[in-house]
Amino acid sequence: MQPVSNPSDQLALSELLDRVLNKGVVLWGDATISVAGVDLIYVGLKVLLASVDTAERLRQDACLPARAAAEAAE
Amino acid sequence: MTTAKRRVLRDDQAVIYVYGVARTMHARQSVPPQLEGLVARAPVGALTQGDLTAFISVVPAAQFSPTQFHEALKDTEWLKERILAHDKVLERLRFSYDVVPFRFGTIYRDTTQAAKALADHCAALGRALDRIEGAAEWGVKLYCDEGALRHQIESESEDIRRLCGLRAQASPGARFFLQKKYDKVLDSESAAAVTKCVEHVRQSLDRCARESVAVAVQPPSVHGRSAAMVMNVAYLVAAGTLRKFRRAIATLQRELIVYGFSVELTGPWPTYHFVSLQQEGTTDAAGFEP
Repeated sequence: MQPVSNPSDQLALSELLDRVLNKGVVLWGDATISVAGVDLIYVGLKVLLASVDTAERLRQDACLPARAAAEAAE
Repeated sequence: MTTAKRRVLRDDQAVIYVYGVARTMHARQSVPPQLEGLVARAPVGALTQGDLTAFISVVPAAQFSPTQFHEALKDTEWLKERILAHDKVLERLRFSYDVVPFRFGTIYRDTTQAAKALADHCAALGRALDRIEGAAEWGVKLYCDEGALRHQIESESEDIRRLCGLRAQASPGARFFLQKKYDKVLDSESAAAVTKCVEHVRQSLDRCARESVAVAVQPPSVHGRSAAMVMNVAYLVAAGTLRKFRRAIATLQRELIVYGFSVELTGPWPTYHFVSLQQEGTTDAAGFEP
């Protein structure tokens, strides 16, 4: 077993959904016309877990070499 | 209903999608070039309001007006791509700035309204930025293989060993009751071991994190492992203590593996769990790094 295990793709995606849909700043007020609802995660999870390839691809695209290397070197 | 909400948006108009907010002094350098936004032809731009700069995309009202957006969310393929794009933008921005991430789907009628929202909440957003400065979010999960844990307890526990000895010498009738007792003791010792282990992990990691917050443990249908998830915590870790944090995790894993526990680390994430403007100071905060 690895000292610290790597999350499965499925887990990484459910982690992402949990954060993007449930957390983060919500600035309610007159100016805000829309914020996606928490209920989405339940719709989302089922369907989105099926498509981990895209998640992986996008996250990898997002990794700039310098920062990624610095963090991987820890 | 406000005026802003009541006025009907035409499909050919544009609305403002906000990804997150940084300090203007840090955000003065331009947004990473060609940073693709939520949809095609909607690159990420900056909207400055005093000390705060929001990262935004100008997106078509045909897809992002309140009505259209909530309708569009029913298309899970579309939703999936947008959620991933939202995270990707924040992930890219994180390399250059301390960014307070906004929840998916935060939309304003126009730049004036978006700037007004920043102005209205500038104090709280300022505090949110102070809170996450120089830090990233990491997720730590602890899994327990109950079979392995029980096995280890059977070999270590005095009570269990004593019961084992008695059981071996007992008559068949007495053995039945001794077995019941044995199972009960093993159950309670396993449960106690899990609690103790979770406390140990939390104490160890709180020493190298700026803050931590417990998240609901996930059911097997979500995490997909045979072992049970017994702890799920989000940590806010400053760049300067990341090495210490990672070492602490490796040490915990070595200590606990014999009891059937494994530690899983995800991240770095935008600081989604540490930016709630409503609950300042109410998180399960750990001690600050000296």
